[in-house]
Amino acid sequence: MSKTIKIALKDLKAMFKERTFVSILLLLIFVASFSSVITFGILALYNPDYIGFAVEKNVNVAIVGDAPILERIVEAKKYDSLSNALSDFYNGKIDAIIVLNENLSSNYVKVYLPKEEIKAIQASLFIKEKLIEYERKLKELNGIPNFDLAFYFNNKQIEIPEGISVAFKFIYVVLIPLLMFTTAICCGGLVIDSISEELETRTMDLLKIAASPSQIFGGKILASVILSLILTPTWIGLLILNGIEINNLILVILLSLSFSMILTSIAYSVVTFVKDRERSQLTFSIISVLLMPLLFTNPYSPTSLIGRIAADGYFSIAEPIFYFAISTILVYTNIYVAKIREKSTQN
Amino acid sequence: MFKIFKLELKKSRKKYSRKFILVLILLIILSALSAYYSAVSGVKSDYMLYKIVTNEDIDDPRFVLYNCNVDCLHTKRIDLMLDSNKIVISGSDKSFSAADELRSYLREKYDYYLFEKYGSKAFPVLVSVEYLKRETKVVFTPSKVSMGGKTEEEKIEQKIGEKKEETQPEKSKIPMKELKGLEPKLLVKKPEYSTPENLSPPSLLGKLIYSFLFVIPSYFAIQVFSSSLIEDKVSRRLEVLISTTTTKKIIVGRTIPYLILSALTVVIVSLIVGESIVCLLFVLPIVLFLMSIQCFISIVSRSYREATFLLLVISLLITTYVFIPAVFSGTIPVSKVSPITQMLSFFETSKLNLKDYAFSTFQFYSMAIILFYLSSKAMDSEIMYSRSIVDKIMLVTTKIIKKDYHTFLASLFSIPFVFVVEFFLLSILFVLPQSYSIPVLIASIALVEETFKATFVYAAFKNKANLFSSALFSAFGFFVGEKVLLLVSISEYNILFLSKFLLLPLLLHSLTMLVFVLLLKFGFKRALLVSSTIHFIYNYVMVVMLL
Repeated sequence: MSKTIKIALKDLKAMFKERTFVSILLLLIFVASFSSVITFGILALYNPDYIGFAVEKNVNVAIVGDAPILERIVEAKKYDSLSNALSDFYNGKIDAIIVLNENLSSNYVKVYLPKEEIKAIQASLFIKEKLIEYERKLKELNGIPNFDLAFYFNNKQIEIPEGISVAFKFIYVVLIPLLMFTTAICCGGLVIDSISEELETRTMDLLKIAASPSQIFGGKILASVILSLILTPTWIGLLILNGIEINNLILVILLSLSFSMILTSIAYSVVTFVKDRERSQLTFSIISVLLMPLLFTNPYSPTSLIGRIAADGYFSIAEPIFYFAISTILVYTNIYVAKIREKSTQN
Repeated sequence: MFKIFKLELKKSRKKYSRKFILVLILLIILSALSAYYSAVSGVKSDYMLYKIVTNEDIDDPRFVLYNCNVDCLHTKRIDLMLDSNKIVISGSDKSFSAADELRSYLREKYDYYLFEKYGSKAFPVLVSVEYLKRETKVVFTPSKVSMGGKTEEEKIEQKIGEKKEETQPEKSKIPMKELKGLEPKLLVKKPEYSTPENLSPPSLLGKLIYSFLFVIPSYFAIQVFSSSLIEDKVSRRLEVLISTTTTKKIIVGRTIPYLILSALTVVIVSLIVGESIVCLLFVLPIVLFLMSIQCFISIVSRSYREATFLLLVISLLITTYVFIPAVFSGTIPVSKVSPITQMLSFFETSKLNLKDYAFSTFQFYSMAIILFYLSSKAMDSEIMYSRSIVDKIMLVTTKIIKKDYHTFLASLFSIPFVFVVEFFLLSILFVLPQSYSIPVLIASIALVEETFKATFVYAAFKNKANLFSSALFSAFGFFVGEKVLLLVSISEYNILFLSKFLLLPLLLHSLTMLVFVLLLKFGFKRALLVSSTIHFIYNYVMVVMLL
């Protein structure tokens, strides 16, 4: 056992010496920070109000056509023809044109907005808000009941911004699973590199003098497991520092560790079968690409489960334990296979 | 060069047996099937995320129904309680999200009910949006008559008239699922008319996933390219090759087979999905850039481990740099910086805008050429097998910059790289609290620019070139680079460089470089720190004045 630990520590020491660990940390920080950019981008596109961005209410609107009800809702400049409205639009005097000849039952509204300008987002949201109001008014006049829902917190009525779920879901459904996946990929990559390097530089032969193959491979896998145990609390810490709530901390770490062990086992099987780094990394990459979409489309997969556990959604304690059991079995199977191979070569 | 090409092919043939290739093909087919399956069935990771209490019939896998009283809400065991038209939330972030999602679900259900009861009358307002580019101020003059004898606006007016006639009678036939229209499915176009609720800013987000199909397969070819190079470096076969031919020939000879392979994957994907093979033009600069940077890293990294993780970080960075701007395509001008945005636009319009193409791909082509050149210089046993990556980069720079005026060229050619680094630094704005983010961003930008310039001056200094003239050449090169950027109308990004103020930046760059040179006797890091601080103060004052 001590030899296994020594081999694991040797690999980890080399990693810290080469500052590989720094690049892995950078990778995780990068994944986390750029995910925030994407979330921000999506929110900016679909709900700038929520992030307090681009909320400009003085959008200059033009109306072309006869629309008395709409004119009461939108404060707009009236134009006789679209040509004149477009001319002012191109001169920057107005930001949006609504073309409509109103009737009570059915209205096909044509809206012109600026292309590739921040103003388009502002104007689009402004127009959207006003047209929703307009639709409600027409429904009222037609005797069609509107959709009304009131929200309460601590006995007070509150507003829930539209699209607020985008950011929350992005964190728990995409970001946290992605960080777990990245950690596991790093662990798998480490096993492939350290085994193939020992094989290609023939240092494996020297190692075999001092330790048995099962101890060597056990050590390599242990290094990956330790790496996962360092990386998972690191990204969890980064998320908590960013104000993201992580529930059921121990279970989140356990599941991330189990997933790393599963991918490490796959990587180990690939490298012992293929032997050289180039083909092993290629095969492992394709397998990872294959797994990723499947994991996100299965609600019971580790990637879905980790989001639910971290967000305190619905889950059974048996689920993370099941994955831990599976990963442990896989790791031991690999070590057992190494032992059998060792015996068969001795015979 | 042809010999190297043949050698690489021979090596691959030896390594990739038919059996192994069959396994790879099988895995690739399975990956494609898995991607297709996920695109069709959608993400299900949000199932069972919310815990709610209600007597209503909620048939949505995202919500798990609990039988609980109001105490569960206070202890946050559940997220919300729904009672007819009233939702009471627990107050957690998750409860807000649950309420938002439940509202969407109920609204959709209600719309269905309305449609069944009132038909199309339930939707008295249907909206269609057209986005018009406003580049020039006065477009509509009486003389501007188009080929058909009608002005642009008359055409639009006519189009609306036609559309009205066409679409009005169709209204009663509009099915509910088309009205919903927001489900982001692959290759599904948004209906032309939607309800006001479903109005959203223009975005080609759906097609973004589609564009992955064209780029990702090339990543595997590039991975094999870098792996093969690292292997030859570790086994010292590369040293033998260097002694027989030039490093440039080695790089070109090794690059071509994988470049052809990448091109083939793009052509195959184009044929499968029925797009024009012109897509290759958009993917090629990305592939070349990736290959060049992977080539450089493979040569300067010390071990497999170091190479693997650096390549992982770099690949992710470049993927982000290429795909993130496309998220904003059609909305803000910054999106045009990526060839993927151009590709998405090409999918929509089938038109290739040469100016936009040149604008978005120039930096990728130029960076690829520079990186391949640096790789050829780094292919030297003295550099390849020595110390850390930072030392190696310094050695390569010293090998290239021998005279004072070389710093001018180095600074000039560093601009695309500085631009990429500064693009990533923008993420600081989203990560840190607002009060810290702007000063930190400005300080980081100052440090990056000074590091680039100072490195070149230091390399010239190592080669005993005149320090002061090297410093001034470096400052001038950087200034010229910034101005070139301004000329190619990247005005939106010049806030990064603050370069719109004519000669002030030249004075700043010269001053900081001269300070660096004067303080170099106290050490590189200290001199760099002082010059960066001066740069930071200038930029900060400018930004404060601008705001």
